[in-house]
Amino acid sequence: MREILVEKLKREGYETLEAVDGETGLKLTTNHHPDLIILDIILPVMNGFEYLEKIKDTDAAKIPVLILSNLGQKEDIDRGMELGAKDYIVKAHFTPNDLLGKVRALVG
Amino acid sequence: MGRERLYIWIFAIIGGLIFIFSNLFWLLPFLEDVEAAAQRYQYEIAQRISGQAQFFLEKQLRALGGLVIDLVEVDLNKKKTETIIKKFLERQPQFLGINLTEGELAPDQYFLSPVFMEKSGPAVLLRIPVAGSDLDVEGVVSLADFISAIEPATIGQLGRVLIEDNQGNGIFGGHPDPDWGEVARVTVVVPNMGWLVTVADPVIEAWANKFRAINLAIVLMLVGMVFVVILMVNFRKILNIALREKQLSRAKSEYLALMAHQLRTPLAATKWNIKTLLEGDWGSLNKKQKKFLERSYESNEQMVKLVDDLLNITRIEEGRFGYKFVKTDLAQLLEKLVAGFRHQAQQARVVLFFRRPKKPFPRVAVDPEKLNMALSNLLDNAIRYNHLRGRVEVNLEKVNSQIKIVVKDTGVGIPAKQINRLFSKFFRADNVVKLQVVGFGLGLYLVKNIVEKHRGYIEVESKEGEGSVFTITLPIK
Repeated sequence: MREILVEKLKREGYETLEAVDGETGLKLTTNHHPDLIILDIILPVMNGFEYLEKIKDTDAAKIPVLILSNLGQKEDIDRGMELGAKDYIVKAHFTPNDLLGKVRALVG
Repeated sequence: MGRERLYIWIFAIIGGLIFIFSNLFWLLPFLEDVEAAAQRYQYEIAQRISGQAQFFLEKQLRALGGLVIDLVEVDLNKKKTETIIKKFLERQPQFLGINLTEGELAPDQYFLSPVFMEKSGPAVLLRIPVAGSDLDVEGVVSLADFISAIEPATIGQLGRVLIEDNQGNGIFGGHPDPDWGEVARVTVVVPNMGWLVTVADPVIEAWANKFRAINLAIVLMLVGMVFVVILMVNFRKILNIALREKQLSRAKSEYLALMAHQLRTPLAATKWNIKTLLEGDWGSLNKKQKKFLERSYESNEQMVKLVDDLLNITRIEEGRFGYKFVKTDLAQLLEKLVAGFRHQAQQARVVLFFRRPKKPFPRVAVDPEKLNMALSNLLDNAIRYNHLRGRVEVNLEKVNSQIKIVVKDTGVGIPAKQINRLFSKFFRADNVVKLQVVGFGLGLYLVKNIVEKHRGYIEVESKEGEGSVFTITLPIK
């Protein structure tokens, strides 16, 4: 799915950086300071919630975060939003184009 | 499980009550003041002793050829009175014993009149009235007088009753001291039979009663304790059941969340892959390729919905569905919802339309997300199980203080014999199973739950092969 997403974003003219786990994601965030973070929750090494906790007190806290996960329980959504995410998307409920719409809305 | 619990609770309540009563109620006599109790028992004892004395005196009188007459019988039954008189006149007994039961303060004139007295020996009052009875009736010889009259000649044969006060003075006879409370001891002496009843001391009686109370209390406490022990053993069982249910429920919930995640991951991947293929992101498709991919996409969407339904049902049953009621414009909600189903309706070649009410509509407190979920289920069914060129009509009406949302279709309908099971969990009608193999039968169960959480109700009218009308009624306030 990451492949599809990256491909779609590139075609729309966005520059992307990919991370396979939370820790790599955190390094990329601090080093590159992107305009938008698309974050999964179930991740190896450091999960999405832990990642949000880590960036909460840093400069990266200002970067909008869009959660894209297979977890769709109300508790998960509430927790993600409480930790500062701008939006929460359950993968199975949205199409790639829906997601592009959300990205455009957040970063223009 | 429910029946088992009920039995345990009934058992517990009975055991608890016995335990409480055995400790409180039955121990009350034990807490009672002995002196006060003795006062109460005096009357009782005197009556009993008097009764015993009477029994022996009657026996002795009969042995001596006397006649014992029960005045109660005489008072109550005229015929019997005549028989007794006849018997009396025939026998002309040496002694006349008159059984004067307590409360008989006016002995019958026949027996106590001088005429009868002349014809018999002395009359004896057999029943010694207690607590201040007044027996100043002409012709009556008190027992004391009687005994002193026949003494010493018959003393050996006839019994003797002694009622003594606490100084040892005899207060024997037809006129016991009205202040009976002073009497400490009642003695019946029957010389030729030995001392039959010697002492009946009210104080001893009070103590005896006290010990009887303790005895009873101990027995009942033991019984109560047996109940309580059984209860405690079972209480652990109840707790264990509850605990196990909770653990199971949590395990089920965690398992389902995990399962949903595991199921959603490939479903989401499939969805995205097919969707991008269908939208031509990876090159154009020919018509056939597109048609089959569209079918795959549709099946995948069904599976996504199934997983969602399963999760929602689990949350409803755990009471964690989390309702948030807000004042909502229902016309707008329905308009949006119907618009979202346009594509599906076109694909199925079903005409879908919503009649927006002409007048402004009151805003109603609902949980828009949940109500949307419920109505989506109804619309999805109405379109999915419709005929080609069928119709689905959605109406919104206000009837008095209620809102009615009506979803009417020209679909396959519901078999009449199955309609009463329509809203139960995992139910799928026979005709629907033939059309669509996939489905858990959770949709309408979910709808009913959501509607009822809004203090409303859902009704259905249907004819197999012709269509169905679902009506959701919600209160405005």
